[in-house]
Amino acid sequence: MVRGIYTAAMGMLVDQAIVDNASNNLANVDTTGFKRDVQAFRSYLQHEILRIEAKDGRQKRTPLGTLERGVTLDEVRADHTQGAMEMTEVNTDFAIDGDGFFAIQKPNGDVYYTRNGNAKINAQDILVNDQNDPFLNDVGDMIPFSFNTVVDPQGFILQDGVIQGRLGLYSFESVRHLRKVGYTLYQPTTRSGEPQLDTESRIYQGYQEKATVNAINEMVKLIAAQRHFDISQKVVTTEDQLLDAAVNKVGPTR
Amino acid sequence: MITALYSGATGMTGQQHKLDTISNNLANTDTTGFKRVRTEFVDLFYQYAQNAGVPVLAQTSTLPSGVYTGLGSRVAATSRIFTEGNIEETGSQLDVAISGDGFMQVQLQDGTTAYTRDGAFKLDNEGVLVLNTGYRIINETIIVPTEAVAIQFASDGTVAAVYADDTLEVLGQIQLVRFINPTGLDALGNNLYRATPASGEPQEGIANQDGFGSFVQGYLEKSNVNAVREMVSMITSQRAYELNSRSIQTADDMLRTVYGLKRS
Repeated sequence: MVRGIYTAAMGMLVDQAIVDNASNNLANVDTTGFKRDVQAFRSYLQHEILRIEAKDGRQKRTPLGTLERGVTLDEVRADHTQGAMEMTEVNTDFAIDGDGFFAIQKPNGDVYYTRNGNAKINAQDILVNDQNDPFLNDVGDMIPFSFNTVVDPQGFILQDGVIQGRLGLYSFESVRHLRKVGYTLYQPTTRSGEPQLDTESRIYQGYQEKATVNAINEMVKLIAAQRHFDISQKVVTTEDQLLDAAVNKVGPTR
Repeated sequence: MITALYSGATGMTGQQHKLDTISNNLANTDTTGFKRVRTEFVDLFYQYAQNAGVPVLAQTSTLPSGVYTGLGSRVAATSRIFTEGNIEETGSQLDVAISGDGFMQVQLQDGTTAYTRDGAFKLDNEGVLVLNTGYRIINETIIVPTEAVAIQFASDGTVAAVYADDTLEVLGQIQLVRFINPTGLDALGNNLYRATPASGEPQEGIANQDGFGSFVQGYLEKSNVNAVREMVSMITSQRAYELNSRSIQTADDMLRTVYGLKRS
């Protein structure tokens, strides 16, 4: 009987995780290139229920089914569906249509990947992000850029009609295993695979990719999680009342 | 305890900042040469409870996926968008618009240089050509003689006086400067900007040459604020603000439920 308290409490912890996740998604409704996080849950400590009866002087076990003793957060991953395109008319804004990512190099040499194409031109004429970290081209070099540089949908960089290289787009075997590190950057992991040069995706200059957060979805999650939280609390208090009755009414030690 | 409380707050702070920017843009819809400002967001850090790809106990396989919580968003940049505003006819001979790239240089009281695209010129009590706010063009004091009946601005920035007998006298030439990254300029107010390490050094040049813009007399450059765009941003921003307040409320309600767990 007491185990019900723990089962209900696990449900409450999961509701908390749902609310935390939904509020992070909602906080990022305006983050360019943000991909919403989705959660998956699994039952915990599943075990088999058997009916045991005596038959011909032996025990007979009949399986009745299984009983789960709780629920736990199994995984969180980014949902890498394409976001909506918003026209900005800014020539250093880029949006990707496809599976590719821009490559960004940090000062320590590490390369991170992003869908956020709100670029800037720094004082050295280099295409950089908000943190002054350069975008990389298809051979891993920095990209010289000026106010009238044109990038065509295939990523070719044209200065006064002359091709100066190609904006580097990279794709991964398993995008869902990329690790989010904040600042809309992703880090490859062993399971995501090595970055591969992507020539399929298209680049739109003067556009930005909106976050894939669906406000209705997140609100529904908030409401459902809160109500479930309340119900689970009721379960815990009910179990507590039953225990109270058992301890103080059925078997009081007078 | 519940990170939702704090990530909701980061979202609200960011949207508040965005609304402030939008209101400033709208307030400057009619400001000559004003360039709109955009708020850019990025996601904050992530708390990893379990990393993907770490070996599980028996070392036979690795965890297929991680468990993490995002901690909200933050404003990464407010960037000024230097697209050209509409060029509007004013009919005044002292109004000049720069069509294309370039800034005029003016001298501030403290001797430093500021840059502007606002070409609404006036004459001061000495007949010197000054900007709206009284600042003079740097390196080029253009004094308009009292006998002049009109002033002419050529597309290359040459200023000439026209006399009653139709003769012209060149009074000087206004130079333009250009920046590699105008987004990096510091706004000083009064339509003036100051160079920063991010904007790069100003590159001086002559209007209508080498990719510099040209002067157009009798016109002014309006702001590049698009009221429709700003209103749409304002609507979405307000809704996003409300949504984030909902996640804070939900977290708060849940904490109250936690309080109700223990019967006294």
